[in-house]
Formats: sequence, C-alpha cells, structure tokens
Amino acid sequence: MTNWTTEFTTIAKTSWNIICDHWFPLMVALFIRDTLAVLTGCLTFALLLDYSNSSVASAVLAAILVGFVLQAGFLRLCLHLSETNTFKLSLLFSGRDYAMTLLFVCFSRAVYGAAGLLLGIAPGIVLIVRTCLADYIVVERRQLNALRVSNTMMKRHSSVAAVFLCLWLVLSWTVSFGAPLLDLFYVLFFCGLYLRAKSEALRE
Amino acid sequence: MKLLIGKSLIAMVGITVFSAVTRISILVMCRMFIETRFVATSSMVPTLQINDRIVVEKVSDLLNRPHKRGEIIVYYPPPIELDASDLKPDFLSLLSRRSGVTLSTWARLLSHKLGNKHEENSPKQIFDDIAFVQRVIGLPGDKVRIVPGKGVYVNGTRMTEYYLLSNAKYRLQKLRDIGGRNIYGDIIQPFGNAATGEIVVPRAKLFVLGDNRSNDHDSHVFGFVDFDRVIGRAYGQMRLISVPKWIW
Repeated sequence: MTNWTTEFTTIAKTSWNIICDHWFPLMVALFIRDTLAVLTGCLTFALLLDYSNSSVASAVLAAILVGFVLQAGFLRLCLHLSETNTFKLSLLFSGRDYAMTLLFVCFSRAVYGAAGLLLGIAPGIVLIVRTCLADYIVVERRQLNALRVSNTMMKRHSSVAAVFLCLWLVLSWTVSFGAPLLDLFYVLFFCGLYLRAKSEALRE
Repeated sequence: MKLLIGKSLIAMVGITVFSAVTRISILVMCRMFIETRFVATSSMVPTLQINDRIVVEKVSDLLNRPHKRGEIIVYYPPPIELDASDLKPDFLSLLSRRSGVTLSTWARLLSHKLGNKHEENSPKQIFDDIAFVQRVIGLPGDKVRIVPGKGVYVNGTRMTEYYLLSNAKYRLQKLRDIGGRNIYGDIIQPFGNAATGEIVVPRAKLFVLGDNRSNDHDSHVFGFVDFDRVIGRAYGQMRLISVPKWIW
C-alpha cells in the first residue's frame, strides 16, 4: 500500500472505533446542540413577535449564533475525544470564545469554495480540500488566519482528504438514511487528520 | 473481528434510530411555535389563492394574546361543519394538532390501507384535522350584521374591507339566518329556526368570514368558532422564488 492509503485506512479505522465506542454520548451532544439552537430561534421569535416585523429573520440569526457557539464546542469535544479517547460533555459549552472566529472562517471558506467552483471543478475541489482543517485550527488556536495555516498543513495530506471527501459526497447522496452517521464520521475523520498533521508539523 | 462487526452494527442502527427520533422531536418542538400551511380552498380569494403557503404563528395563542379584528386565523371548524364528528382526544391526535405534524392522519390512513375499516375509520373521519383559514370579523361581545351588497356591520358601524372583491350577497340579521350547507353538502342550521335574537358573539368565541364572501363555509354557515379551536394566526405568506429553467 502507498503512504496515503495507509494513512487513510488508519485514520478511518480510528474514527470508526471512536464512533463505535462513543456513539451514544456523541448523539446526545448533537441533540443538545440542535435543540438549543432551535429553541433559541423559537424563543427569539416569540419574544420579538409584537415588537418587530423581522422577528423571523432575528430568530434565524439568533439560532445561527447559538448554533455556532455550540458547534465550536462540539468540534472541541470531538478533538478532545480523538486525542484522549475520553468523552467530556462540558466541552460542548466551551465554544463561546471561538464562535465568532468560526463564523468568519466558515463564511470565508464558503466564499472561497464557491469562487473556486465557479472557476472550474478542479480549482474548487483543491480550495475545499486545502481549507478543510480551518474549523479545527480555529477551535484549538483561535487563529483568524486559519485558512492559510490549513493550506500549509494540508500540503502532505491533500490526497487523503480529497479521497475521503469524494467518498463522503457519493455516500451522502446515495445512502440518505445514513446521513447522521456520515456527518459524525466526517467530523471525527478530519479530527484525526488534523491531529496527525499537527503532530507532523510539531516534529518538523 | 466478530466483536467489531457487532459493535459497528449497534452503532449504525443506534445512530440512525436516535437521529430519526431526535429530528422528529425537534421538528415537533419547532412547530409548536411556528408552522406553515397550504391554503386548500378558495375561501380567502383574492387575499390568498389555492395552494398558497402561509406561515402560522402559534405563540400568541399559547400566551393568550387577544385577537384583533381583521386578522387572519387558522382554526379547526366546529363539529357541525364536519358532519358532527369532532376532533379526536387521543394522545397522537392531540400531539398532531399541537405540532401541526399530521401523525394521527398518517396512522389512520395506514390503518385504513391495511384493511382495518373500523367504523371510526370511515373516509370522512380520517381527515379530522381539516383546518380553515379565515378572517376574524367579530370579537366576543360584538354585534354582527350583514347587509347584502353593502357589507358587514360590527356594533352598528360598517367595516371598511379593502381586501374584498365583492360584498356578501346574503343577509344576516338574526341567529336563525346562520345556516347553509356544510362541506359534506348537508343542510345545517346551528341555532334553529326559532332563534330570533341578534347575532352577538359570545364569550371565548369568534365570528369569522372568508374574503370570498359569497362562496365560503364560514361563520355565516356554522356559527361561532371557539378560541380553543384556533391553531394560530397568519404571520406572513411564503412565496417561492421561481428559478429560470436555464439554470437547471
């Protein structure tokens, strides 16, 4: 087997083992994240109903903000889980300081990805692959230049990420009932890839 | 190896079931506050056309906020309009009505399809959660009168109704004037022929009319609507953006 296939199978196997061991607490964390975000949206809508004509827009905005805070916490939780193999639910609520940076980086990623795809499929895929570690860099180091750091870190791991993304996209479209499982696998796979790239960068 | 396969299977099934349950519960929770509904009839033409989608907010009714004259509400019609069959009181039906997710109708349709043609599952009763969309005209205590060709008088004052294409063609002066054919075509007269009193909206009830005034099943046919039967108030209309074909 070539280098990248070994790397791919190792990361995939580790991520899968984590899912098998901790699927229930992970799903509970996801449920809490989604419920709190939706509930915030609903309550904002209820509170602003009499005072604002744009209560739906405000509700969506509130839900997105809370969703990002909890998403940052969830990514931290997954990173901690991949690193130590211990589940710590309190990390889900530790994303407050990272949420705005994560929002900015996610928006920039979306703009880059869309711009790349407008240029052509290949540049789009390259840009998406090169920036796919940005979220994890943000929730660990809170760096605004996460996209550039991700680009540097992904230089040696692009093929692993590209193959995984292609497989993930095909599976997501074909096996729709497996979407939640695939989403979880996606996060944990990139957690594994990020930790590997980070340790390599530290060694160098 | 066997252990890993077993663990993987448990994880796959567990995640799928867990996420299905949680997503449905989040959907139900969300729809307790706000939901969207299709307009199925022409009762609100020209304001709302058939197949228009409206956003219904349920917060006001949860918080017992008072109704306003002229607002559009979504409600379950009284039993007399539904051939005397009332809303079902079982848990699934209650949850369906609160959340707007028609779980009970799905269950009854499935049961009907599987051949359990029990008396209570007659086709008429499968869709017991039919909802009407109409405009509030009379609030509790209001005296309502309709003069054909002229309009609606509430407490002696004629309502300015810019949203109408034409005024009602029927006369409504006394309680006995309320009546007509229900949605199944049966003739109904909720207050009987002897009720000669004026039309005064009772406590905790509403008098509602559709904007398609002369061609509608509303309070001029089945009488007043209980507050309890109101699902929510129309908050806005959803308009889908039509995407040019060349994009696809």
